Parts: sequence; structure tokens; C-alpha cells
Amino acid sequence: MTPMDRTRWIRLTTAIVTAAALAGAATAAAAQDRNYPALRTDRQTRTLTLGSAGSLDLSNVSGDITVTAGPGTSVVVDVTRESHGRTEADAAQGLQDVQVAIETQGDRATVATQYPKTQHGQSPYRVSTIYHVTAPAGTHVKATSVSGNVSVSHIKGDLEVQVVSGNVTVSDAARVTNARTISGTVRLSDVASDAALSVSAVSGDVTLERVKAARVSADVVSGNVRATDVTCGGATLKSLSGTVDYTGPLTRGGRYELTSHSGTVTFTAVGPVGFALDASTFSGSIQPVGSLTLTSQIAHRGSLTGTVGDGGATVAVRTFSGNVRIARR
Amino acid sequence: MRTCSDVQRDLSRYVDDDLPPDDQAAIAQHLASCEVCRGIEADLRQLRARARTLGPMPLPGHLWSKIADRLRMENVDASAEVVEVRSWPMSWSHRSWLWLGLAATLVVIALGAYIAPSLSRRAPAAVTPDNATRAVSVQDVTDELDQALEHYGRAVAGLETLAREDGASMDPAVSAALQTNLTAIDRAIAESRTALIDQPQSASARASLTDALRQKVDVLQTTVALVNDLRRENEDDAADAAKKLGKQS
Repeated sequence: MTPMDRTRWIRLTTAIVTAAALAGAATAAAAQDRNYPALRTDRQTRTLTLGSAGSLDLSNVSGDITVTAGPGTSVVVDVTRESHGRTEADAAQGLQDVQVAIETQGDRATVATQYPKTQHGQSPYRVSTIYHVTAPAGTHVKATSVSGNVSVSHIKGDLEVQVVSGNVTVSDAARVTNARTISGTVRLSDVASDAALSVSAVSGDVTLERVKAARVSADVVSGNVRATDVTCGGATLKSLSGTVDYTGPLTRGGRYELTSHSGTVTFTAVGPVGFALDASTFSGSIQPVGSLTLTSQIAHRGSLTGTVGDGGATVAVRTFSGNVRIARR
Repeated sequence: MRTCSDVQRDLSRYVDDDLPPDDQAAIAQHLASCEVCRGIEADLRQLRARARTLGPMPLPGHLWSKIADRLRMENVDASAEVVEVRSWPMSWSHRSWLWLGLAATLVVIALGAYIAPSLSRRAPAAVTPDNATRAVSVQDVTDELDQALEHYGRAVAGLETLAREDGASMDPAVSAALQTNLTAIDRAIAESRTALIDQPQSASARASLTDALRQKVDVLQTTVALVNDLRRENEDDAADAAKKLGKQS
């Protein structure tokens, strides 16, 4: 994560986690709490005319967000608020206090779940807000949430998803610039982007399938990174305690770095472009797999360097206590 | 458009004028508008300049032994660095963050960019009277490394204290996730330290240590920023803040 990315991420997370605190940290799971037996539900639908390539900025505190592509040039926002209260009156108060604010300006719209000002003591209600959004495929979407899953599919505009606690799922998309969660998984599939792609999770797995991007970076502390059928000009994949797997064709001149502290790192190059290998492990083993042939090979104390094929790309693979597996097919 | 991460990855080669012309130009363009990367570049040039005065030195082993000695000193003074925490976006003065970033960066640069190339490129040679004066320069570098590690340790200790004190006010699920990961990072740091003490020349141990330290700073920064904001009371509605900050980002 770059310093700028980190700054943005911290700004976002601090703000929205504050929202969670102010709101009584409403969560979907907490909605089942027996202390909040009363339930009031409200559903509303708003249609926003943003054109075929408008921008939608959606921020939520608690509840899932689903965004998918639809026909026409309008964005349809379907909002369901579920208020769990200690009493019916409390539940009703929750619906009254927690509102969805929608602002539009030209081809831009901002949709935000808004909670009341600072509350002291335990809130008498817990409200979760569930968004189902249908938007033109070219819409630029930014979705943020404190607690809840975010799922986006078939959106071809710029896409950015950031969640504090919840899973991020993106499928059939283009120009995914950021997909992040602190606690949860990130799964991207069938993404074709000409921009750099940055994915991160503090605690959770990152899965990339059939992804094309200028560059790919994935950073996980506790969790596995699995990149399958990924095509990019370079990649940096890191996990502290999980495994790191990369399978895909290489770009000549590209640099591919895979790192783990305690997990096994597996790199499989597909196609004609070869690579210069620099692999190392402190206490694990380095295992060329299958018919991999290295020229100019130097093996020394947990390190292995050499050239595979034409050496067109650079592959740096490192793990501290895990094993390294290198293959080509 | 290159990101800071992209630029910092290639800065070492940029300083050595070892990149293709287009890449050199792109990084120069980024540096012109990025104070943080420019600061790292300046540090790197300074270290490289000192490195160039060393000639074919045999001392990285000694240097790493000294670091290994230092790593044996586990008692970091947590009270040494008191960091004022205010609500976001003023939380932590920009200077404090810059300081922390520079301290961490110096470690990364020093360990990653200077030492590793030194070890990989230079064949061991005996210390002779001819290079006795150069040893002083190496000592300077060693001192810088020591200083960086010390500063880094203080920064981490300060962040840990803050996170520990206020962690209880954070959303329990997020707090638990962050704590679990900090524990995992600490384990990685401990393993890397042990390995480095046993084998000061191990490139894997060195790289793992710097990676783990960097990750710890990342997670701690996130943690402290979260608890900072949770200290805020009587502020504007947080969803508004989220919206505003989201626009800024």
C-alpha cells in the first residue's frame, strides 16, 4: 500500500468507524440480539438519472450493499432499513433517526446512511441498511461500508470498494482501482482493467481469478493470496502468515514479487515468456516443479537463482519459514 | 501515473540512474510533486553517497553483527516517545506521521537498499590500514542504522501504547481482528530477529524483518487512527464525515 493509499484508507476507516461508534455499532449479527426483539422495516426506492457514465458514491454503516448493472441510463437505489429496538417505540425511533440521504448534482450522486449526532450510553435500537443498486454498466461506483458485505457485478466504470468489516466481491468488472477490507475476504473475478489494481485485507483471504490489469498488488497480513489466470505487467503479492499463489502469463520486462513470512509461495508461469528467478527461504525448501529447467543456476543456502526460458521477466519469490515452489507450463 | 509505492520500489535504481529513460523521467516527474518520495530519495542519495566512500569494504558482516547485538536488547523504552493524539484529520500532527514515516523509511532504505546491494555485490576482503578511515564511514552508517532502529522501536512502542489504551473503545470485531494480526506480526518479527541473531548474514532474515516491521507500522497506523477518531465526541455526524473524507480520497 502506498503512503497516499494508506492515508486515504485511514481517513476513510476512521471516519466510518466513528460512524459505527456513534450509531451504537449496529451490525447485522447484533440485529438478532434478543435485547432488541422489536422490528420495524422500511423500504424505499429512488431513481436517479445520472446518464450512462455517471458517478455514484455510496457509503453505509451497517448492512450489505449490492450493485449490479442494469438497462437504461438511470440508477435505481432500493433501500431497506431494518430497525431492531428494545420496544416497538424504540424500533420506530430508529427508523426516524437513521436516514438515507441522497444528493444529486448533474451526473453525480451521493447516497449515505446518516445517523443522529453523538449518542451517550447504549442505543435503544440498532439499524441496518441494505442497499440494492442497479446502475448503467458505465457508472463509476465508489462503495464504502463499516460493517457489511459489498458485492458489485457487471459494472464497467471506475470501481472502488472499501469495507472495515465485511467481504468484498467483484465480478465481471473493469477499472477496479481499489478493493479493501480490514476484516473479511476480497474476491475479484473476470476483471479487465487497463489501470493498476490494488487489493488488501488485514485479516482475510484475497482471491483473484481471470484478472487483467496494468499492475496487480495484493497485501494481506493473515490470510492467503491466490491469483489464478492473472495477466498483468507486474505484480506484488504479499501475505504475512498465509500462502501466496500466482498463476498466469508473464509480460516481458515485468517484475513479479511474491512474499510470505510463514506460508508457502507458489509461482507458476504460463506461456512463452521466461523469467529470471530469484528465490529464497530461510528455513523452508525451494522446489522447482515438473519439467522446469533453469540455466545459469546458482543454489546456495536457501536461495536459488537462475534463468527460465528467455528470462524475459523477473520473478522474485521469498518466504521466511515456508516453502517455495516454482513451475512453468 | 505512478504511485508512491511504484516510485519507492524503483528509487534505488533511479538514484543509480539504472532505469530506462522513460522510467527515469516518470519518477523525476513524480518526485517533483511528492514531498514524501523526495525525502526518501534524499535519504537514499545520502546513504549512497556514503556508501560510495566505502570502497570494497568487508564490513557488512560486522555491521549486521552489531545490529544483531542491538536486537538482543529487547527493552525498548515505551515512554521515550510521547505522541500527541488529536482527532482526525489533525490526529497526530503531520510532523509526527512524517517523522514516523521517515524513521521507518530509513530502516527500510538502510536495510533493504544499502545493505543488501552491499552484500550481494561486494566480495569479502580483509581490513587493511588502507581502508581504516573508511571504517569510520561504515561506523557512521552503523550508527545511522542503530538510530533508525531505535527511533523505529520508540514509534512502534508509542503506537502500541495508544492502541492498547484506547483499543477497548473500538468496535470489538475490528479490534479483535487488528489485535490478532498484530500478534501474528510480532511473531514474525520475533522469528526474524532470532534468525538474524543466529545468522547475521542471512538475506532472508533481513528481508523478513524489514517486511514485518513495515507491516506492523501499517497496521498500527490504522489502529491508532481508528482509536483517535473514536476519542472524538461532540463532533459532526460521522456519516457526514465519512462522506466528506470519502470525497477527499
